[in-house]
Amino acid sequence: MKQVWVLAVDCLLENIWNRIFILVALFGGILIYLSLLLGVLAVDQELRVLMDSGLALIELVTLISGLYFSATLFLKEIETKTIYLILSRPLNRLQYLLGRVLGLLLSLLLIMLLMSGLHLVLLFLHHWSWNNSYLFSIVGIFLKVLMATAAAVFFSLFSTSSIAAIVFSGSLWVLGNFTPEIRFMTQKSSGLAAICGRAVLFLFPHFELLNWGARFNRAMILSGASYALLYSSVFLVLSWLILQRKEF
Amino acid sequence: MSSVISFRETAKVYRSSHLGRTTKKIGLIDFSLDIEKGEAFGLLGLNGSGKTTTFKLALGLLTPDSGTVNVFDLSPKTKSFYSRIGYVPELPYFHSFLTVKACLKFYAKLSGLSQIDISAHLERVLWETGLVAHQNKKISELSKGLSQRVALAQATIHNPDLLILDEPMSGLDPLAIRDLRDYLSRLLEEGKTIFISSHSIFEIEKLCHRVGILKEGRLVRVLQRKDWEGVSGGLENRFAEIIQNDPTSKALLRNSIQ
Repeated sequence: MKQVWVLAVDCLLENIWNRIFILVALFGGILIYLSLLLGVLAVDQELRVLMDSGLALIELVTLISGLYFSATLFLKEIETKTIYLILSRPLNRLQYLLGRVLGLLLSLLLIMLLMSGLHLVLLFLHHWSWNNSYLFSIVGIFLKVLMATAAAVFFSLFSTSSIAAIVFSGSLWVLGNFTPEIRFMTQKSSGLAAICGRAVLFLFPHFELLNWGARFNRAMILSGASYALLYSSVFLVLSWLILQRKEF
Repeated sequence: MSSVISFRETAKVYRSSHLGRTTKKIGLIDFSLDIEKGEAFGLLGLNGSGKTTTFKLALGLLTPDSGTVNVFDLSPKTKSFYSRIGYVPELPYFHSFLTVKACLKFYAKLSGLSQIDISAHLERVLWETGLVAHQNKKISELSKGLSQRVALAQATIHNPDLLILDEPMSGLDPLAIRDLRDYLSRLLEEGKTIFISSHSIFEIEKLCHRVGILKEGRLVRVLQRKDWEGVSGGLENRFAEIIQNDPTSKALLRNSIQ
């Protein structure tokens, strides 16, 4: 466990040092500021627009960062030969995978904390009073990004291009946001289309389970969080199986 | 003497597929070799002859297609296996924002050393590699020679019994090469085993007890120190003779010059 933590901290430090990380944080800040302008334009609904657009932008920026970090992580380590220095140490490949993924998640959590901190400042300036639904919305976003990131790690391990890994996992995220529509279309169709629909529903993430909004309750949160953790774990187990056999 | 590394009829073929077409490239073929405890064994060969493949097979980073590789009679990919090995790949990369000390601490922790052991080993390795004065410098501030010392220090921080060094002298100035050779000689005196590759034949000649010559993935000859000591032109001439007299070598040498 100690070595997993050492790898995670190393990954976090590298991402903090990485200029892209700083750029992403700045980008998020600017986008949230833009959402403030949008709020001014929405008469009477200013606070709601500010809340919704801010959360959407936090999700988008964290997702883009997550996909980029995870898709380039292993390929970069192979390119710089860092992976040889790590894998020739007394630690197994599962520890290596868990360490790097944990570091990635800590980096994303930090990005989210920075952006949501900025977002909260803007909300409080608009006389918003604290509501726990905000916290659960942030947790929901983090779980969605966790699922997409786990998928991106998996895709990056068997593709030779980070762009391909980003495209695959990005597609997963897009389709995952449309599962209610896909379910509706599957119910209305038959034959091959219905089979394809059911396959998509089985394979792709159901992000609607994490859109808790203001109507959250304990059962929704527990089932949504368990689903997200299970879905991510499946991709991580598959990644571990690939990593076990992978030659460097 | 007991065998530290043992290759038996080991073969490795690289396969790559593109648009349904698979191409094969021989990495190593019919490779048999034993390296004894306390020995410095050098691998010489032209580019692409299989030196790095040999090292990666010994480290368990590659799996042989046929034959066996045994290191300390332990199965690769286990913790006890890696705790006895130190590895320096060719031109390794370290995070530029870390200081020398932080970088070495990172690898010490990954090697599973306790906090007390880390302090003791860190002090030892900084002194042995001449990095004491540079320990608080960032990696980005180091010259190539100093970076290479960091590479050696990370490989020896856990006091391994076997060192696998892939082109450790690459790009170093003469003084840095001398320092490196002196350090490796000291490690040999301590009973460590060194498996090294280098294009610097003179350094291999001075350091190694035996040398293996690789060509197109085949171990064409293993020379003992007596085979080049006192011989006109030394190891360089022996290497050139062996490569040139090998029937398929002339074409290879021509291609490498072109």
